[in-house]
Parts: sequence; C-alpha cells; structure tokens
Amino acid sequence: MKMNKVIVVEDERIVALHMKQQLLKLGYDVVAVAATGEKALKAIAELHPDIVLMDIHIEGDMDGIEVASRIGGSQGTPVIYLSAYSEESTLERARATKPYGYLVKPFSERELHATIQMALERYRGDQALRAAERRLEKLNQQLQVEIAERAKSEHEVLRERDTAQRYMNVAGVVILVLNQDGTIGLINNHGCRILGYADSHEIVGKSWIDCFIPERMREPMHESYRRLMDSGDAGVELEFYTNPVLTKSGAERIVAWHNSLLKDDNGRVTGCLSSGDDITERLRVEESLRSSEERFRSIFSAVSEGILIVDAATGTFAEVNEPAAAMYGYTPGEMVGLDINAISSEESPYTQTDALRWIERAATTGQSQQFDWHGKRKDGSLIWVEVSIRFAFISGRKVVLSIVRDVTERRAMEAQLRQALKMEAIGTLAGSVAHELNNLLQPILMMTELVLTEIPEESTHAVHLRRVVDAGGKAAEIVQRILAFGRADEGSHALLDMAFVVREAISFIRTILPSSITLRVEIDDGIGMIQGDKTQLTQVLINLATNARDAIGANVGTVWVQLSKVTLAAEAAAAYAVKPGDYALLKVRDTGAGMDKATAERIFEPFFTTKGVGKGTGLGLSVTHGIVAGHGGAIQVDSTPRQGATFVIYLPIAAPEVTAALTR
Amino acid sequence: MANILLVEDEPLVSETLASAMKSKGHVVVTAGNGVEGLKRFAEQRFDLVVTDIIMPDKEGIEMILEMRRHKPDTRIIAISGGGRTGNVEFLKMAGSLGAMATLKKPIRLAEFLSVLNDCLGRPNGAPKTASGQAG
Repeated sequence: MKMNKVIVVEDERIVALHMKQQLLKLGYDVVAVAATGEKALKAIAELHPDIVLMDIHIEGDMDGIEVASRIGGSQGTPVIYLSAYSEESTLERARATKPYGYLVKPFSERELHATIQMALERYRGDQALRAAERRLEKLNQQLQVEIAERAKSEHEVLRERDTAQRYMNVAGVVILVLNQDGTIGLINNHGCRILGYADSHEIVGKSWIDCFIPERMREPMHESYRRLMDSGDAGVELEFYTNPVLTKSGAERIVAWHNSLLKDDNGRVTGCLSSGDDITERLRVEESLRSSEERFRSIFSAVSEGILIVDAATGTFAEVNEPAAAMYGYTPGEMVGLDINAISSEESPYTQTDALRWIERAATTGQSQQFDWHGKRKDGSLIWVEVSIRFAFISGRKVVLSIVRDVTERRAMEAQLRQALKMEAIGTLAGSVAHELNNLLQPILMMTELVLTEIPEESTHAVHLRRVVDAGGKAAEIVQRILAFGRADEGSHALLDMAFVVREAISFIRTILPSSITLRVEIDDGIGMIQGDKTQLTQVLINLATNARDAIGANVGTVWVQLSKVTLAAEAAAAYAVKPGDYALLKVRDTGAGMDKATAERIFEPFFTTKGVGKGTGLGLSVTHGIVAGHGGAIQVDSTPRQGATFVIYLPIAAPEVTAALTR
Repeated sequence: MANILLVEDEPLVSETLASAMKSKGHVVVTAGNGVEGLKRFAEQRFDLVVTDIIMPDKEGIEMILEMRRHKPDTRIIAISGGGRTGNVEFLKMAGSLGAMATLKKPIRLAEFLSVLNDCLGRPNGAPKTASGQAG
C-alpha cells in the first residue's frame, strides 16, 4: 500500500519530532520537516507530499497561513493547520485558504490520524469532483464548439442555398429539375415566366412532358426521357436538345436545353437538371432575316437591271449581279473586290474620288442619288451608265446599293436627235431670215434694174448701178443657198438606181482627185430604188468627195465610197428624225485631217467653214444637208482629229408600191 | 396696156413690181391680202393677176381657187418669197391649181417682164412653170 507522504511544518523541534514519530507510527511517510515558510515551500515543491501539516505560527516572514495560501488551497496540496491558540482574525485568514483540517494543540494521536484521513479523503473527493468538473467543462466546451460549428454550417448551407436560389432566379435561363418519374422537382423564376406562370406552385410536382410539352411531341419525349433515365449518360443527342414548350396560354415557345443527369452517391440516376434558353424570338428573327435574305437574293438575281453592292468600308464591290457584270464584260466573280476606278473612264468627273462624293451625298442627305456615269468595260471600251445609289444594310453590313443601266445607245441617239433638231431649228431660222432677205432684195434688185432701163447704159450712174445689181444678185444666190439648207428645193422625183448614180458620180470624182489620193469604191447593187433628184444627189457626192480631197490636202490618202442597204428601226430612225424603214446607206470616208467634236457638231451649219477666208463659202455641206433632208434622209459625220472623217448618208428606199407605180 | 391685179402683202415688194409693170405701160391695181384681192377682182376685169401665194393664212391659194371659180380663164402668175414653210409645195400647188407661171423672189426685171409678156400673150392654157433659181 502506498504510503501517504506528509510534510510537517513546525518550528518547535521537539513538537515536530514528536509529530514525526506519531506519524511514522501511524504509517505515514514523513518526507520532510520544515521549520520555516521558505523551507516548507521548497520541500513541498520538490517532494510533492499528499498532505501538509502546517503550524500556523512559525518562524520567519511567512506564517503557516501564508505558506498554505501559496500552495494553492483546494487545488494544490491539502493542508491541515496545527495551532495552539488563535485569534479570530487568524482563524479568518486560515479559513480563507480552505484547509482540509484544523488541529488544536494539544491533540491526540487518534485526532491526528482521523483528521489526516478525513482530510485525504476529502481531498481525494475534491480532486475527483474537480476532475469531473473539468471533464464536464471540457465536454461543455466541445459541445459549444460543435453547436457553433453546426450553426455555422447550417448557416452556410442556408446561405449557399439562398445564393443558389438567387442565382437560379437571377439567371436569364430556365433552370428545370426533373425527377426520375418525369415530374418537376424545381423550376426557377425565369422558367415560370417563360411558361407564363406567376410562381412555381402550379408547376412543381406536375409531369413535365404531359403538362408542358405539346401533345404531338409527348410520346417521343417520354421515350427519350426514359432512355435518359435508364442510360445514366446523357449522350450527345440528349445533352443538347431543342423543343417547343407549352405556356399557360397554350402558345408555344421554343427552348434550347442543356441537360445533365443528377445522380445520387451510388451513381444512380435520380433526375435531370436542365438549363434552357428561350430562343423563340431569336428563331423568329433568324427566320425573317433568312427569308428577307432570300427575297433579296431572288430579286438580286432575277432583275434585268444591274445591281452592284459596294462595301461602304472598303469601297470595293462586295457583290455584283449577272446583268451588271455582263454590262462591264466581266463575270460576277471577277468583279468582286474591284474598286470603282476599275470600271470608270477615270477622266474627271468620273473618277473614284467623284464617285465617293456621290456616295457621301447619299450618306448625308439619306436620299438616293441619280447620275450618269462614264464607265469602262473589261476590254477598255467606254460605256455610259445611268446610276442610282443609296445606302442599305444587307446581311448586317452597311453597303452602297447601286443600280445601273446601260444608256450608251440611248445617249448616242439623244445626241443624234439633238443634232437633228438643231439642224432643223437652224433650217427654220435660216428659212425665216431668207424670206425676209428675199423680200428686201426684191426692191433692191428690181428698182435698180428699172432705173438702169431709164439711164444711158454707159453713164457712170449706170456703171455704179450695175454693180448694185450684181451685188444684189450674188446676195440672192447666197440666200438661195441658205434656203437649200433647210428643206431643199425638192427637185424632181424620179426613181433612181442609187448604184447607178454613185457610179456616174465616181467617174466625175476621179477627175477631181489628185493621184496622191486612192479612191476605193464598194457598191452593193441589190439595194432597190430611191425617189429623188439625180442632179442634187450627184451634187452631194461631189461635195463630199471635194471635202475629202481638201481634208487630205497635199498628203497621200484614201477616199472610200460605199453604198449598201440598211434598215433603221424605230429608235434609231427617231434619233435621225426620219421614218423607220429601209435606207440606202452611203458612206464617204477619208484619211484626211479629220475634225474635233466641236467642229463636227457644226459642220452642216450654213456659213460654217474650216477653210480660210475666201476659200469657201461654207455652204457646200449645208446644201448637201438640205438636199439629203429634202429627200427624207439623214446625214451624219463621224471623225477624230488626224484620223479622217466618215460622212454617212441615209436615203429612204422607195416603197415597192411606189416603185411599181412609178415604173408603170 | 393690160389691166393687172397685183396681190402682195409686202409694201416694198408691191411697189417694186408695180413700178416694173407700170414702166411697160400696164395699169396696176394693188391689194394687200387675199380678201382685198378678191374684192378688187370682183370690181373689174383684169387681164392678169400677179399674186404672192404665201400670205397670212394660206390666203394666196384660196384666193386663186376663188378666182378660178369665178372666172376659170383668169391668167394668174404666182410668186413666192422662197422662205418659211413649204415654199416649194405651195408653188407646185399653185401650178396645179392653174397658175400659168410661178416665180421666186427676188424676181429679176428681165425675167419678170418676159414672163409677163408671155402670159399676156396667150390665153390661159396649160400652166407653164417658170424656172426658179437653180438649187
């Protein structure tokens, strides 16, 4: 049996010794006897007694109570006080240190033993209690921690749930959870909205397929869902799925889903989580975009007008339809990427810069711009096009849409018509002037002539007056020529074989051409007859040949005379201000000096001459013009400076009936 | 010695032609337009009518027709200004309506007198067109 260690703290040696003996006899292990407080403390600290018998009154600075207080009271080593006598205050102090016993001297051995035993017993009990208390305390703390943690994790869970809920409801997609059996486990706010419900209580719990999928699709969808639940794997075809859904009103909306399977811890499929996008509007927009794109395409390809689409950013052609490309001599593919310069004459005001100015005008005014443009084909030849441009959005791109029409021929005809009308106007003017002049020449001439009959022929007056008459006569001739310009004196109306007339004129012309000029003649014999005046027509040929000779001058050159038949259709005929029908086409071409555009436009005007003063009256071609016009024909000149000139004459071929009538 | 009616709307021209005719001793009555011409024509007998055919409102032609209706054997010489519209057609028309001769202004004295004599010298037979100036 373990012996209880005891320390005696007693300053009286004899008493101490006596106690020690008693204690030893009682079976205690007296490990130390201390006379002072310090020694006592030291011994207690080193020897760890089970109990300390403490005399209150001891030597030194500390008394027993002081020592006891230092060794920790009920937590430290138990103390039994020994005291002979004490005052109340001392006892007070002693009690404060919670001793385990109090022995008053003198005390018996029996008292000593009993007190020690009781003290130890009590101490042990106290220890046990304290230990129990400590355990409890610890347990309590643990419990607190656990509770706190549980609270925390619950809070977190709640928070996460809240967050998840919030995310789910804030999300712009439908979030739908279906259970294994196809009933709806969960749907977010957006989903409710899409389906047309205020909240989810009318939705949750119902069969998704039977309530929210259009009838026609239910069976296949049931099947798909079953497959999904069984397969444990969404697979490619079921992971992304688009289908119509039924809203509360019965309307359908198209939703594009992403589906993922929900599994429990054992890997068994418990349901399906889907996020869906309402693509109804998008599809609608796409469809309308597609059908408008289609409409555009069909118009683009089908129209006969040329359409060019210019990319507003790069200034090059993004798309060109067939008619437009053909106009310029390209294939549509070849034109893509070309810029405006490539199809323009590039002479001001038909350059890329000018084009951009038009485009800018369209941009700033927001209105379509129309203008004529001098374009260039692939082979370099030039054409006139009528252009209409505006801005447009096609396939999401800002483009310049231009519609073009080839008006080259129309412009040429307009130019011819203008020319013809001009000539006619001049003719009318000339005629009117001529008329006035003729009336005035009448008295000038005849009165003077009358006076001449009344005065001596040789007189100075007569001489002078004859001059007057001469001048008047010349003036009258000139006026006649002016009149010949407009609608000539018709002369006779015989039926002529133009080929014959030309050949006769040629034989005369050969005599007036120098040897340096070669004459080439091409005559078509089967033209038919024309109605006209042989003298006048011969005059025309001679006039043209003479001009050709003068244009070549001293140089070596060639003159061609060609006669053929041609048919003028309504438009072309109108441009020349003549009737449509068959015409004898007479061409006289020379390799002479040629003339510029400005000269060519005026060459048939009376008094217009390119020859020097005194070298020509400028009436030859105007008379020729008048004769041709008088025959119901038209005359035209085509010339480039230094590259000669071609005079083209159309003379109407007599209708067969006329020919028949006049040959009877 | 003949009685000649001159219908001409241009005063200067009228005076000139009248002077020429008077210088040969003829009596000349003048009228300024077709209406007046017909009036004069109705008033007395004329050996010859010299008339411009291009006067306002195609009067010349109509006047000729009237006169021929009245007196089919009227001698008529038609003259024209050689300008304005359809001069040539009118002359031809005048010819086909019974003018004995057609002359284009400005008429030369010698020619005028010659044609005058020629026409006065014959009854109104087949019309003879005068040579106009060559074209």
